[in-house]
Amino acid sequence: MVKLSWGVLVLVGALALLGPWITPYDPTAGSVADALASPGPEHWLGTDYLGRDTLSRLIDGARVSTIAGFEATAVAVVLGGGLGMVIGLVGGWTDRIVMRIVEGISSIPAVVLAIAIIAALGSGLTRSMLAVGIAFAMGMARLARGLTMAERERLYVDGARVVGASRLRLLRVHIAPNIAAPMGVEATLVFAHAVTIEAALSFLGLGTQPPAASWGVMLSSAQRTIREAPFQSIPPGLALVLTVLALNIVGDALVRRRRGVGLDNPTGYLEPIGIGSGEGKAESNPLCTDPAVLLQARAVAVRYGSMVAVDGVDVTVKAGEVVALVGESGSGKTSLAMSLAGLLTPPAACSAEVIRLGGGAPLDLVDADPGVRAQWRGRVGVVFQEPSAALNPLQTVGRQLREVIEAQRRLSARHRDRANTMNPRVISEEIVDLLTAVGLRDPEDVARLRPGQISGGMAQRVMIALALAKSPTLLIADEPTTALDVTVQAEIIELLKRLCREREFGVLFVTHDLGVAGELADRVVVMFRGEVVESGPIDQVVLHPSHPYTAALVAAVPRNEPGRAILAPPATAAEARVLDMVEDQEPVS
Amino acid sequence: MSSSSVVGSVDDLTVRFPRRRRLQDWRPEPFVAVDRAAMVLRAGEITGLVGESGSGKSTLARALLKLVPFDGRAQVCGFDVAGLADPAPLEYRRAVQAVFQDPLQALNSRHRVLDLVGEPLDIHTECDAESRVDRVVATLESVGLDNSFLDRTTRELSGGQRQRVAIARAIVIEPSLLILDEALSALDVTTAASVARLLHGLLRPDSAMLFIGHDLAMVRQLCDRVYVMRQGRIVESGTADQVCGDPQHEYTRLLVGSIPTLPRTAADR
Repeated sequence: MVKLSWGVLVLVGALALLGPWITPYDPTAGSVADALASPGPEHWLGTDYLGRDTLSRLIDGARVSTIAGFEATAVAVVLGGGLGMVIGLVGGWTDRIVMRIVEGISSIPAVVLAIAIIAALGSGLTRSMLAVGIAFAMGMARLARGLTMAERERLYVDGARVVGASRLRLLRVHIAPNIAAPMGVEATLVFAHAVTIEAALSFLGLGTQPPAASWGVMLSSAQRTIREAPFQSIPPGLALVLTVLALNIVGDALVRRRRGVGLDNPTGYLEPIGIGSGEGKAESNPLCTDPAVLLQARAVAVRYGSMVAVDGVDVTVKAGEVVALVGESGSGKTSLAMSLAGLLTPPAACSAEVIRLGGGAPLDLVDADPGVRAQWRGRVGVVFQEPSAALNPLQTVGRQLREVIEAQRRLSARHRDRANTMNPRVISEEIVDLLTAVGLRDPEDVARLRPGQISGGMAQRVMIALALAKSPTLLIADEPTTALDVTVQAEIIELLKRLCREREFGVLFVTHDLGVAGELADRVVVMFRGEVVESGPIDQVVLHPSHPYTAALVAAVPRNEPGRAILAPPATAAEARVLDMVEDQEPVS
Repeated sequence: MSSSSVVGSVDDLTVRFPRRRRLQDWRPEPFVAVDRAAMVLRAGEITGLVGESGSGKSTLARALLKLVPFDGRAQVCGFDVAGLADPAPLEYRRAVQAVFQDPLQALNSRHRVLDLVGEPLDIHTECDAESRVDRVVATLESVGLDNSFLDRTTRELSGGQRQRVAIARAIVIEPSLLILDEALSALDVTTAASVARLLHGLLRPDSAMLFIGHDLAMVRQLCDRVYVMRQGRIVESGTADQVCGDPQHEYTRLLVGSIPTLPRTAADR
């Protein structure tokens, strides 16, 4: 549909450009003897009441419509865009006064305003398009003002001000290029309107003046002879409808592409992918059957196209144990964590020899069907870095917890006593219990609040409560304290330690900060460029690092000690090499 | 010596933000983001300003950068900041530069590195295209980037490289005061350490840096003098070793106690 519309627009544009050379007859002259001829080999689309060839006039009309569209759009963009950007940047009283005037003018319908301006300026194509342009400039000004005000708040504009950029430079070099795309989309819609309004004004005799051809003039002349030659109104009408439709479809497609949403996936939601067993590797070792082992993953690999993010990694988590997964951004630690949570989305591809969840009936994630994957996600709790982004801003905390608890109940087939467990009061009590467990005072009050009304630390506690609502076997926490203040970070670390002790689940804690891992973890797994370079008990890894990357990581943690250890250059050449690799290796996002 | 080495001094600086009017509260009290702050920035030193989110530390920096209006006195590089016109004169912009937390947002992502670092030169100097490129290349070299970066945009760089570009943009016109607003906070630990090393190396004896952060351990390792801020007020100040090693104020003690620590060997203890 979009391609077809582009085709229509290209055709109209080509006719407009090549018109004078390809029209079979002079569009403005004809002999009355041929008047109102029917379509035939002489005149493909017949002739009008003065005997002029309709096909030639149609082709010439494409030129008029295109010129009309460009004129009106140019006036609207230059006048409206310029005005809107200036008042958007200056703000204050200028903005208030100009905006009231703009709103006043916008309240008059564009056609009526254009007719009023034409009454003052006189009729004719260029003048009427100037009038239409002024009418549409008001909408453009409002759009440009809104976009500029949004850009003005962005940090790069502050950065440019600090460097000393003048207001003109801010608009020209920084803001204009960044708001050009949405303005361009709006311009296609103005273009479509201008084409229709040109036809309407010409039909009324205010736009293009006969004998010049325009689709509006043609409709007007066809209307006079509608009884004698009803066919004459169809070619200009159809041309107008198709062109405007094509412009709107193209404009719509541009809007959608800017939002990054395709027709095949209008919400942008991606279903998590399954995990395959890889290239048929034979199981080398029998699986450990110790009931204390909650998670066993072997040879996990994650690829994004040709890029290997995780390259054959083994992870084991035991009950009551916190395992820290440490690495830089781009080391593959988050990809690994998300694959173990069953939450990887396309374009990622994942394979593994074994990913098994113990503690109760064992579940296997490799080659699992959707039902098993849903059960897996029911038993693995996940906490993300940005609690405010992971919580639904429109629902109260209590409602979000209730949803998770109810889904959990529905999922576990063992609950025969449905009426009792789905009882709202029982669930409300459970919500209060959960919020108390994560250390929130006044849990009843917190349950009634929305995520925007609570602090970041509280929101992260709510996220943990959501994860606990599933009574998880395993908790995967992806940088849960990175976005928080240090004092709040210390509290969340304490909370996770306590919960892990009390509930005896396993925690896989993803972090880039070895210091945080040192506070919390029993064991550390150090990842570097998609591979595990070192793993073991935290004390051993920190005090006797065997890989140069681990040594660099330990040295980079600032300590509250006198002296300036952190400013010392890398201790060994190997460390320096690894550090250079890290900075080059980081992902480009 | 004492007065000549002072690059900036702040006294009684207060920033108020108007609150929204409501039906039941027609004339609301303004929100006081910075409350009578006082501070001295010395040449050849990195001064640290520590606090948690919402403490007003970034607002204080924005006041010194003339991005928000304020009351009180601030003398920076011989300018009376409170009395400066808006927009601030170019001489002041040349003297005070800043690096922000998130370089991806603080740098226009449509511009190439050459233009990002060259823009201050376009505004403040009259150099021709050739010497512009030369100065940009020389500045990039001083932050550890070679000239293969000139034609890239920030989207094609890693986080550490982006922050190095932001630093190059700030130092290309050799400011007397460089304000680092959480400049290391968004970086990975190892990258943050190398950028800290770079910043310390860039300090000139006649210039000062104001390092704003929330990681007290990093501030102790990098800064000479520290101010601790809480709810708009400066609650403690002193040399870095004093404040972080022997905190007096209760809040500072809480901050020090929250620093995550690594296991140590017996010899370290």
